[in-house]
Amino acid sequence: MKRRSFLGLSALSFAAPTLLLPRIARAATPAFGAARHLLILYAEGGLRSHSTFNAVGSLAHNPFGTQPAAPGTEWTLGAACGSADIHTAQGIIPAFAKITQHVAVIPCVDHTPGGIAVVDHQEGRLRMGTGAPEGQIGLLSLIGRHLPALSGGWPTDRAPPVEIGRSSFGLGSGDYQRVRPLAVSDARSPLLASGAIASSAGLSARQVLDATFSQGVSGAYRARVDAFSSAKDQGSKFASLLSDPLLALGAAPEAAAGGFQNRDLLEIFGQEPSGRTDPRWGVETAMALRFLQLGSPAVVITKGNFDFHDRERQLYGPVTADLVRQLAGLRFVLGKLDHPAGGRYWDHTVVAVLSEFSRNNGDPRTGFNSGDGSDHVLSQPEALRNQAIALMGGPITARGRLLGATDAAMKPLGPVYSSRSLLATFLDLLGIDPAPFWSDPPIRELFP
Amino acid sequence: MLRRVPALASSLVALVACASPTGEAPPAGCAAPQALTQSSNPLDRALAPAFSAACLELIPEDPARLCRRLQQDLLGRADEPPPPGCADDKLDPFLRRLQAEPRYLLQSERQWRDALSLAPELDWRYFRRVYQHVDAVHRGALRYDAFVAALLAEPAVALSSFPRSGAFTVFLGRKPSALEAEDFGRLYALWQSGYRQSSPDNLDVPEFGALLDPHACLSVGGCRTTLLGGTAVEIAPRPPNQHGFSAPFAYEDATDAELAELKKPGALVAASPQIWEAAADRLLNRFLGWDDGGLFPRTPGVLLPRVRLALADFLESTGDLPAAERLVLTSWLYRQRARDLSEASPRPVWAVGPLKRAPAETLLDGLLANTGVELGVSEPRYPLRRYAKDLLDRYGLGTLDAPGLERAFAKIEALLSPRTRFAVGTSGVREPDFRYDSWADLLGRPGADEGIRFALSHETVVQDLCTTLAAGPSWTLEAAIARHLGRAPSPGEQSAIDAALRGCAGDCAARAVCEAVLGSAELRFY
Repeated sequence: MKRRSFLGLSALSFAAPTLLLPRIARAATPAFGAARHLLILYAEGGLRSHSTFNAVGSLAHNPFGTQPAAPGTEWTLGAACGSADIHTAQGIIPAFAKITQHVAVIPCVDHTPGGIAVVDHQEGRLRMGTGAPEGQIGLLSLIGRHLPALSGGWPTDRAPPVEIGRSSFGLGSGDYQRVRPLAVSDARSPLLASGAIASSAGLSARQVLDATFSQGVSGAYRARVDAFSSAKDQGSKFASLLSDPLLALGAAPEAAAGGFQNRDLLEIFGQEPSGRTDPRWGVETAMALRFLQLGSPAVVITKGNFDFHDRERQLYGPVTADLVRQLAGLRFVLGKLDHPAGGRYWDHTVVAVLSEFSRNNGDPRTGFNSGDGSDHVLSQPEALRNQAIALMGGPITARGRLLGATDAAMKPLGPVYSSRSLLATFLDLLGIDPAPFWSDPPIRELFP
Repeated sequence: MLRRVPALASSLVALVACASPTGEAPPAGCAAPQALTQSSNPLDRALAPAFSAACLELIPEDPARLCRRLQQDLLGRADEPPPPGCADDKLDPFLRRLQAEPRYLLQSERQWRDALSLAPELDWRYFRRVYQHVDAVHRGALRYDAFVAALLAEPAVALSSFPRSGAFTVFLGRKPSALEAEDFGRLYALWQSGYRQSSPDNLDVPEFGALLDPHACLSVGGCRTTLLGGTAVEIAPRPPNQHGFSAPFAYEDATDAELAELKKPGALVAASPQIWEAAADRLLNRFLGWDDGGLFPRTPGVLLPRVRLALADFLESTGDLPAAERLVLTSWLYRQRARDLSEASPRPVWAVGPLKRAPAETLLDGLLANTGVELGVSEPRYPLRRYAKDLLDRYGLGTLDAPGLERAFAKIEALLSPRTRFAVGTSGVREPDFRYDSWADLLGRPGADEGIRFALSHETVVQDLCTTLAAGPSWTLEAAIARHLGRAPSPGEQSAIDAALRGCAGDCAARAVCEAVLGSAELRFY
């Protein structure tokens, strides 16, 4: 077929009537708009979440055993994360095992319920951050544009959505490029070379050059040049916010807000030396908390190196101990911080632990593959595809509940929620209608 | 070749050409400029009706600016003073010289790296395989349709989500429906990333890379497209190993027959008649850069369908991508003036030259030129040292001896270290790990990324550079503007900046000038 005749046929086919389907109206959850902040801890690489937050699996799926959880907890806590309290100058902070009654667990969050399991990291990351395998607009960019408080433009006296560590949550294309989150690639270093961006003599000189340039630009390009100038001006204003000592965690240990100095936060969440190959969250969590205090509606921390194809036998324990330490620390700190809108930050904040998938391919006799790790393969994918998601915070009213169930082979015995439903829940909590973005409904069961 | 432009498209041209922003009645048609009607370039002739309908004259770009524009587009940076031959009437020989330079291939690799959305964590050897195809097509040694077919069989592409979305968008010029994406994606179901199976005693170091799992094709509908004629990728599982498992096997272990099967999806796309219009659109979009995203969508091929068809016809008949690039770059669409237009009423976008955002790498090349490093190393996807070595090996770029290279690395590290993760390489030397913190992230991604993220990152990098570098006579206003913007400061600028810098002399003034010039809109847009 010649190119022209083919195109003609294509044009005809495009002219065929389109089937118009009415959008299904979906009721918001009872918690619509109940949260002012969202904090996601994203364990990149595929966290074996069901060995900690839904530890009912057989040896193949949970070789670490279980431990008692706090009274009022329906779900089963894995033993690998330990049960040590956190001893700090602020006092003894109860171990995660003692606060599990505040945590809801969804044992089966799957990207493609009923479909082929996702085993590829990139696809899993994109689905979890954007809701689609080829998604281009991440959750944080959606929040940056559609959160009612931000829809008229970002106020420069409050922090916008933030990603600490690059993630698919911060993707944005088209009109969403301008509302991508503020990106922090290294929480252990100062955010700015200097806070003088807003006041340097260079700024005044640049404005002279830009004014000359702008005058001669064709009207066809006026909008693009104006957008550049506008973003630069905004950048200068945000620079003063980012030079706040609260965000210089290591360099300004005595900077304080809400009764916590920076050094207190680092002690609570842990300040591990950089350069470790096994991930540690403390500095990033402390920075995320400061961003919430500075007004950010949503922060996603992404930590890599959870792809334990080997050495998981040795590292899973210390790694998950550090992970649940963040949850215990957040329960403690958020519960003490006064919120400007009244109550405590805990009352207004939702915390969740996510990954792109869980893991499988453990030998039934050991729980590990031949390298003392685990994999993400299509064979017997139940343990892989059903992430156990932990959520906590005041707006989550299903505290201590297990929203579903699995058997020892990690096969679902109850509802399976899609990762898009989870993303829709986050938007719903922040007061954004998720229906224009995802057809999957929010998870109402989190709010009995 | 007979050109049958649909009536609807002709109407659109007329509509666009005659649109009057003031609401006045459009003027009666005029004769098109002879430079268009008598041009040997078919794109100019296709453009002529629009100028005729709008009664507009051509306004040529200033030769120095045109030189910079051409160099930025083909080489990723502009040299001062401009190379000879740039201002000549006949640009084609000059463009051929640019396309013969190693930097042209680098620039082309960047374009395709972004178009293909190559995952940064992919192994370097898979990037290199893609780049070999890119180099071949941009040297004119590979037809474009063969290039498309080859790319879609590459591990770097197959392991990504590109086949489900990008393949349609980039090569066919449209987004796929959900059904189409799922259907075409099934042809790639057997691709996985993972480790080669290690030996039972686990003494060997497993190698990460592309694996093929034929079992994935055994499920219903696996590895078979139904919407594209029932084509299937048929690879049989390997015999079971000593443990009784038929495990996935490494891409590198595939037989010739199996590799031929893997090429079937690419062959399907490459045979589609739509690839030529899509390729024409890509070239026009890249070199004209009219689109500002969702708010201001402007696609040259939609606004000027005659031009798109002329370019598509040329591509289909020759398959020659670099020649098609020259066709666009020598056309009047590209050679018109973009700034300093004195006319009161705005001209349509096709009646002014392009004014595009510099991509992150181009911008960084310009900024880091101050380090004295012979660049070409501003490639965000790979550890710097490995990339630089590869460049030196392949193209003989630069003449840095080993100590010089070390100094350059040290300087770049010092400039970027506050926001850059470091990895310890096998040599034991720290090197920036750009797989995680790419310069594209620091400076904004390609496209209309002018948000707060870009602004802060850009300002911060500029500040870093200027704090480190700006001192001495090279940072007087005249020298800095000449070096980076290719012009002299106007008297008005000179006096206004002198006033802005009152009380700031010596290193203070040098740093301010550095920040002003490197952070300016004029450096950002070209």
